[in-house]
Amino acid sequence: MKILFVEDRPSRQLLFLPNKEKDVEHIRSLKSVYMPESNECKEIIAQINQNNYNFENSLKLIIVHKSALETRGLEYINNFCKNEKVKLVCFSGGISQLTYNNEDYEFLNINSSDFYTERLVPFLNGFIAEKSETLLELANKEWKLSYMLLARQIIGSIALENDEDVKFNLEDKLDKINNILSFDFTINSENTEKLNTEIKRIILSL
Amino acid sequence: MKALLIYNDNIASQFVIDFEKLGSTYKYQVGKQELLNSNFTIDKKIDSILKAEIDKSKYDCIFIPYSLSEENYLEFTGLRFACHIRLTPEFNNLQTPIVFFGYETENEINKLSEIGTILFSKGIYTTEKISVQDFEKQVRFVVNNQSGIPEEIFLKQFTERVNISPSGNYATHHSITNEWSIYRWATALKVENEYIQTIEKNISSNLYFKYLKAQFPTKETIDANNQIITEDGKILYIDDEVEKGWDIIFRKICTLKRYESIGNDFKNLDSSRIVESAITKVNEFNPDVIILDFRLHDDDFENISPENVTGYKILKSIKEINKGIQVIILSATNKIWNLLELQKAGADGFILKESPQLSVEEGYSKNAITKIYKTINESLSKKYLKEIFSNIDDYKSKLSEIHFKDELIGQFAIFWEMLVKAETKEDFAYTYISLYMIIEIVNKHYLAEIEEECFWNEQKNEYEFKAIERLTEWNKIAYLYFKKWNETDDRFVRNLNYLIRKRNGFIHNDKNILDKEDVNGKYLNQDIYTKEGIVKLFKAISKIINCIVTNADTPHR
Repeated sequence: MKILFVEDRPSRQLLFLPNKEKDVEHIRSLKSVYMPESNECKEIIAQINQNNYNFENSLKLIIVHKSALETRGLEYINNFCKNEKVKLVCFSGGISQLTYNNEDYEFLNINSSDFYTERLVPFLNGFIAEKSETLLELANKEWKLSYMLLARQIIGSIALENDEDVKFNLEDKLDKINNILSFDFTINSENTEKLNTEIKRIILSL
Repeated sequence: MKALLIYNDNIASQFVIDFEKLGSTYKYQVGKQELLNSNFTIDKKIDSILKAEIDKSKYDCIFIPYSLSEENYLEFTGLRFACHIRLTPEFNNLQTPIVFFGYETENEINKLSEIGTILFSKGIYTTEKISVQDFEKQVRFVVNNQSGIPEEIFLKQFTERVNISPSGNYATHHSITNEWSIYRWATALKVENEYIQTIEKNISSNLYFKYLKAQFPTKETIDANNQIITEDGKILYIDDEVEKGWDIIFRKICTLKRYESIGNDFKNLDSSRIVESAITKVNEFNPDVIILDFRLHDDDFENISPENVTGYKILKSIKEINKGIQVIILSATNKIWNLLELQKAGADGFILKESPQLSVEEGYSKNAITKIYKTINESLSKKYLKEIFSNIDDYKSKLSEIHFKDELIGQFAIFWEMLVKAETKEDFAYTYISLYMIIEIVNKHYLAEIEEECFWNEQKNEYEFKAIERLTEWNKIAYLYFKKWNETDDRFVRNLNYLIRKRNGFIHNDKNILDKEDVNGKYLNQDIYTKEGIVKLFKAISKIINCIVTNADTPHR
């Protein structure tokens, strides 16, 4: 099992997923996805909240309905993800704005209606096939643009920065972005024009 | 000069240090620990920063990058932060000029963010020049160009320019109205529990609610805490979000009444199981009045026809159990065709939740709550319908062996239809006549057997019978009562005489009967115009029906 998918209100999948039953059946058919149902799901949620659920070693991603868990349960998942570098997606109807965080491990806080979209099934397929770069693929089809804009902000800050440690950290972030985007040019201060052109091209195409 | 810089880790630390000569700085950061708190939202975070963390003095200018998110630029948290500044009066900087900085153009940001239109609202500036010298020039520029306008007008212009959408769980106006009503009515009724507190906190911190408050400002101090339900009876409240504020509100309204609620476990059930669970509870508790939420399942918020909505299905099932149970629909729906469908299915009343748009009207919450008390009181005052329906329903099986049962059941059905629709005093009087016809039917079927008249011999102080040519309906029923069914309760028969006289008084417009005072000066016969009169006659007729059923095997004399 690569993905643990904890959804205590499965009717929502039928409500939001574009291809309704077809999408749900597809997700259920994925051998690498474990999506417990009804009582089994409740049992797992209870165990996570009581901090006695045994996560499988093969796990690479946890997807969980945030409101089903107490803060204690979420902390338990956090510790596991932090130690094992497992990615985490928390979805809930109450999340007013998407939040992405890559400190220690990749984490995405996303509204249910933004999570259950046409992006979910391709993302799961890509993740299982190890072709997924980032959890942001779930959030926005223009996820590359997000990294490019971030890179441009960081390049601007590096130019203004005198503190070597801070500069190093910013450059490290830029390297990570370069790895994720794998462009045919390196994103840095020398290639700002290329980056700007690419950004303009994408925004114009929207 | 007093400027404020909001920044994150992606902004050069040297720049932040240099900025301090222009004013103060605030580092925006959200740790993973915070994000993993089950109650965390970005709005709560920003709201708490503005109300509790940043110095709330008046700034000349506030600088914010378009995006404050360290790893996902498209979150555009800077734009959201600025919207909060505009909509949080407690921060004291509603109209303070805000300068966004970043390398994107205004049009690009507007294309990429739903709230990008903030860039085109009053008091907003943008710059690509990120240096303290340029920022200093910006502050001078905005200070020189600042023109204060009344706050109300400023907010009106802002809400007209910027469109803020609700988050996913407020995808429909129903959920917004739901939370808003709980907030307004709980305040008016002075009730509180942890769920109400959560809603209050949410409404005071959620950007969309702040936006609604600016769009629909309400000034009144509401207090609706001095009313009571006067009628007796049992009340059941059915809602999938029973504990999220509504239960405590209805518990308060129904103080001192037998009140129960159900719905806590509905979230785990599909629509048909919700109906099943609700009906089990109705059968167990046997309420007189039911307050029923219209939408009790996620699917109910889809664009489905009213008859497929869970609340509608429960309403139909309740009316199958007993048409006399009064059902009040609680709903945020503003669709008149939904309300009409519900009315057709038997809904007896409606409580419409208060939307932010309605709160603009002065005194709206208080009036709405007064109406709730009135609706519940009126429904409880009709609890006699439940008992009457239940009796009529029983007669269908009890009378099965009686040869004229169809005529009796048919007349009871006509009476019932008239009774539930009765509103005016004339309606009640005609309904009374309709019920009285049961006596005529009974008499007609036994008429051939009766050859004697019943009369009251005052000297002997007892009933006597003598052969007559023309019998009144009372003569006939009294004869049946004593002679055919061998009953002995002469008070009942005398009472029956009064009940029949009332009917005659109305039919013949006999003022001597209808306006007759008793020793206490009461016009007792006037109750033909009321539900009380009908209940009295129904009780008498129930006794006659029981006599018929008990004596079903007695051979005709």
